[in-house]
Amino acid sequence: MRVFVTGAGGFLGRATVQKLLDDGHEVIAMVRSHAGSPAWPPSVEVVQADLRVPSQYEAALSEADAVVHVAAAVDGDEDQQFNSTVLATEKFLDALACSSVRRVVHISTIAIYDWHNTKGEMNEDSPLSENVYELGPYSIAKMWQERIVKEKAESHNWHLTILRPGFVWGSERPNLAGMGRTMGPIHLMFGPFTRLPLTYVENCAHCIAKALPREPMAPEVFNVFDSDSVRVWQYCRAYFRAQSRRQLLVPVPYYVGLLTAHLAGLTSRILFGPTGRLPSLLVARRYESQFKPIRYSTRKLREVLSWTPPVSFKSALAKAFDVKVGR
Amino acid sequence: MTTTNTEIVTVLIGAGAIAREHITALQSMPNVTLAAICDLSPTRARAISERYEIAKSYTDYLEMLDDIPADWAHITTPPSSHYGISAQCLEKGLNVLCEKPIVPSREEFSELREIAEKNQVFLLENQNLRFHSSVRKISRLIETGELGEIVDVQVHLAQNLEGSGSPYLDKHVPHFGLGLPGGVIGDFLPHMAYLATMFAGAPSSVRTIWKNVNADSPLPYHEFRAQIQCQTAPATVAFSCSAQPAGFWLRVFGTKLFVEANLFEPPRLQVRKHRTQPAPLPSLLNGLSEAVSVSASTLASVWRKLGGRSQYDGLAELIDACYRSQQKGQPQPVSLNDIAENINLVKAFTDPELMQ
Repeated sequence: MRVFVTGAGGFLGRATVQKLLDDGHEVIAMVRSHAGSPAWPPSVEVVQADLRVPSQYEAALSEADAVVHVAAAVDGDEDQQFNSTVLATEKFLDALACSSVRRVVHISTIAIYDWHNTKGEMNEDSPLSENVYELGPYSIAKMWQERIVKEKAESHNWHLTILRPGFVWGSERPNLAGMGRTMGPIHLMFGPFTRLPLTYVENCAHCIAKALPREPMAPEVFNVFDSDSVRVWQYCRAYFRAQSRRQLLVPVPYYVGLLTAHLAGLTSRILFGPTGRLPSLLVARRYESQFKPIRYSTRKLREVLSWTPPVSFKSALAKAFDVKVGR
Repeated sequence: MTTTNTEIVTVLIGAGAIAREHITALQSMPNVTLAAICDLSPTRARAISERYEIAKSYTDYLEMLDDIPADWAHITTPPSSHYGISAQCLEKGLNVLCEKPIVPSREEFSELREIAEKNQVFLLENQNLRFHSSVRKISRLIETGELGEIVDVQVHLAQNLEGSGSPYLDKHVPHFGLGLPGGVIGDFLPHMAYLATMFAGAPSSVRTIWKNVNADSPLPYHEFRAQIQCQTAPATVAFSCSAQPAGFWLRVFGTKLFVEANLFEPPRLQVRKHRTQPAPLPSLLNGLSEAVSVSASTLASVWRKLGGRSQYDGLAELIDACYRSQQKGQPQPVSLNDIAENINLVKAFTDPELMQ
């Protein structure tokens, strides 16, 4: 299959290109800049382009059989992330609609779920956030991105698979929001025994490659987690050991943090009314979306996609941090 | 906000970053309905409409103007489209508040002015810093005579335009600012020009320095300085891409007081008085006074942020003044002559002969 990968120069994009090559696919790797792109083999067609400028990539897109849409901004304010993620996708979808491509794998995120109303276990049937604007720029942009991908796919009868990974991690991106917050020599772990929805970057790429050959008649969704067996304290310990940093790990019970956030929110509403603004850690809904102690189901991945992660957490730690950890 | 007792219907054209400031200001006002928003991107129009609970969204502003019987149009699109959209809105009898720079040339502004006068509607450029809380405090110090005679005005804006993730460096989709005279700096010049002249008086002559400090940069210029001879006092205007930390400094020197405001951090204002006590008391008293003032204004600034108030100060007050004046049949709060003179001064800053 000839696969067009957007965001191919990014953290997950690079791993995806490598996995697709390993599986024998031909890859058209779209990157915004050649700077920082890996030394791919000559068989990879590298297209330097911007999704907002279809004329730069339409020709390459017309030669593709399938698309893996990874590109998204991960930082910036609400307007910047919306422009980079959603407006770019809007242009890309218009170009895609003019091509012969009918197979699309879209990389979304679990950040768009309604964490407050998700009880016990998060799975593909968990409700999506009805007020994503409480959750911050990344969630807003990814929610709108998934929404327009789905709308376009339905109106053009594309075979769409939406993958919603948890925390994608690896050597280049070891620091996760779910770990807590570092303040000088102290690292606060909110809910040290909370399970992390981790997916090691190579595993996530493996899952993408596994989903690619499918041709679902209606849009299908899979959450992507390796497992939910790793707890916050385990990951924090491994992370700081690998960083060779002497950090005092301070556990904060989840509900103590949540109560603090609710009290801060109440104080803000009393003092400022609905316009009040607080740091994200003190916004209850955002706190929940990062630290809520729930389980993460991999049932659909196993039963429908027949996927299990090829790299164990221990091996991933060894690969990412170049140390033997996880004891 | 006072606004008026009559319901005012507004539409917004352009849903980018600055539009959010207009929406926030408009939604804080009683008796004002932001009825619709328009953007070329259907997704952005829908998203902003949903985000801010605006009843309707459009991708064609002419269709919107036909559908919505609006009193005002706020234009927050890139500058190259200001003339055409403003002309259409004015022709349809709408009052217009347009983002700066309203139009690049005196001729285009004269044409818009003619349409506005013919249709008896307001035409304004967003000059919100005239209504900035710190600027108003300085104006009061002048009006009450506390500042004395103005002897010097300095407007100094420091902002790194080439930092990580800067939209001005986007090679794929060049920022609209790059097409302005003076490049991206040109986008800031209207604010700097009226701040100088509102305190120093009408300009009579201008000397400028423009400098490119990075030949590899897409920005044509990184540094700008201007000395302006004005009716009341000389003024200096400066933009620096290199000076850090970022700040938008307005300094007014009087015969009795010196005041300094960082317009990026409202309501921060420092006042240094001319004192007659024997040395070293003046220095000590001014130092203590400044310490108290800086501490208080820093806390006020944090309080303001926690309260969710925008750092884009003065826009709500400008809109309020516009709406009230229009409803009461009073002159517009920033006159057409003031806007025209500001365009002239910006034009003088970017005179190609002086820039060389």
